[in-house]
Amino acid sequence: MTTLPARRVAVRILGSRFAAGFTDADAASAVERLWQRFVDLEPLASAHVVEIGDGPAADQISRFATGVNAAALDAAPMFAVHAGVVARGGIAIAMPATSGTGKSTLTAACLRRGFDYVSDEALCLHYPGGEIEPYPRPIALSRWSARTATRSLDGVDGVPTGEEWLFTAADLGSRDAGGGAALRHIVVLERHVDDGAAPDSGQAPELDALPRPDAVTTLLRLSFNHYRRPADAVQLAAKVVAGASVWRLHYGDPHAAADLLWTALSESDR
Amino acid sequence: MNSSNPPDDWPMAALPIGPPPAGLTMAEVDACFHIFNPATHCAIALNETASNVWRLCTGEFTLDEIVGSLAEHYDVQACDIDPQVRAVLRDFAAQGLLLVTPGESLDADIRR
Repeated sequence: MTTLPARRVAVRILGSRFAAGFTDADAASAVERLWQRFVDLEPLASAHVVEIGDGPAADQISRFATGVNAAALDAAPMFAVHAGVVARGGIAIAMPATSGTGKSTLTAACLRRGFDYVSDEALCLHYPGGEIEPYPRPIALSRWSARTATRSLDGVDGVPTGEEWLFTAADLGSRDAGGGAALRHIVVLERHVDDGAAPDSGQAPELDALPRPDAVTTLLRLSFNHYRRPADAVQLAAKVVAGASVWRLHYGDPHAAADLLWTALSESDR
Repeated sequence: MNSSNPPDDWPMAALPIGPPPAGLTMAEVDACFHIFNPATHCAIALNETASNVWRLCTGEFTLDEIVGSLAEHYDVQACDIDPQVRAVLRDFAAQGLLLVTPGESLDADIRR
C-alpha cells in the first residue's frame, strides 16, 4: 500500500523548479524551513518531480536534499564549481575542493567567525561576466563536523538527516550574503588531519600565495558542468582567476583557519 | 583534425610553425595560456615557457627563428634549447594545437 503525500513542497534552485511530495508533514516543514530562500510560489507545471517515497522524516529530507542538489547543479545555466563560498563586505572567498576535504566544515566555521554565507557546495558564476549566483543551500555537516564547526551543538538548531545534519546560515549565527559579492579570493584547501586527534591540536594554519594560472585548472577540474559550454568555461575560469588572488590554505583546525581568513584576507582587501 | 603524433622528422628547421587551427579558445592568465580544443574536447594548460613558444606559433616564424627568439629571451644558447622547443612543438601537434599537413617534413625541406 502506498502512502499518499501529506504535503507538497516546491522550490526553485539555480533556475530549475523542483516539486516533492512528503508523506511526513514534519519532513515537509523542515524542508520548507531549510530551503526557505528557494521556496517557489509560482505554478508548478514545469517542475521536476523529486521522488521522496516513504520512510522516516530524516530519510525523506535526505532524499530531497540529495535529489535537488544534484539535479540543480547539473542543469544550472551557469559555470558551477565544487566549492565552499563565503563573503564579507561584498568580497567573496571561494574555497574549491572535492567532497570529503572539509570545505563544509570550514565554511561553517567561517560563518561562526562572522562571514556571510554564499554556499557550502558550489561557486556558481554567470556567463560571460562571472557574477556570482548565490547557492545558499542548507549546510550539510556530519555530526563530527557540526560539533567541530560549532564547538558545541547546544543552542544550535539543525535538522538530522541520517548521516548528516542540515543547518541554515541563521542556525549558525550568520546570514545569507545575497547577490552582488565579487570574487576576489580563491583559496585552495589542504587539510592535515592527525589520525583522530582533536582538530585544534595541530599546527597553526598557513596561507600562501599560489600562481594564479594553476587556479584555472583547479576550477575546471572541480566544475560540475563545464562540459556543457567548455570553451566558455575556459574563458570564464580564466577571467575570474585574473581578477582574484589565489592562495593555498594548509590547516587542521577549521576555527583557526577561519580566523586566519578573516584577518589575512580582510587586510589584503584594504 | 590531426591530433596524433607528428612524423619523427617534424618540425623541420626551415618551415614556418603554425598558425593554429581555427576554432581554438584561448585564455591567458599571468602570461600562461589555457587552450580549449573543440576537436579533441580537451582543455590544455601551458606553463609560462610553453606559452612563450605558443605565442610564436603564428605561421610567421620557422623553428630556427622561434628557437633563436627564445634563446635571446632566456639568454641561453640556441642549441641548448632546440631539443626542448622541438619537444614542446611536437606536443602541441600531438594535442591538435598545430596541424602537420602531409608532406610537411623532409620532402618540403629538400624542396627548399
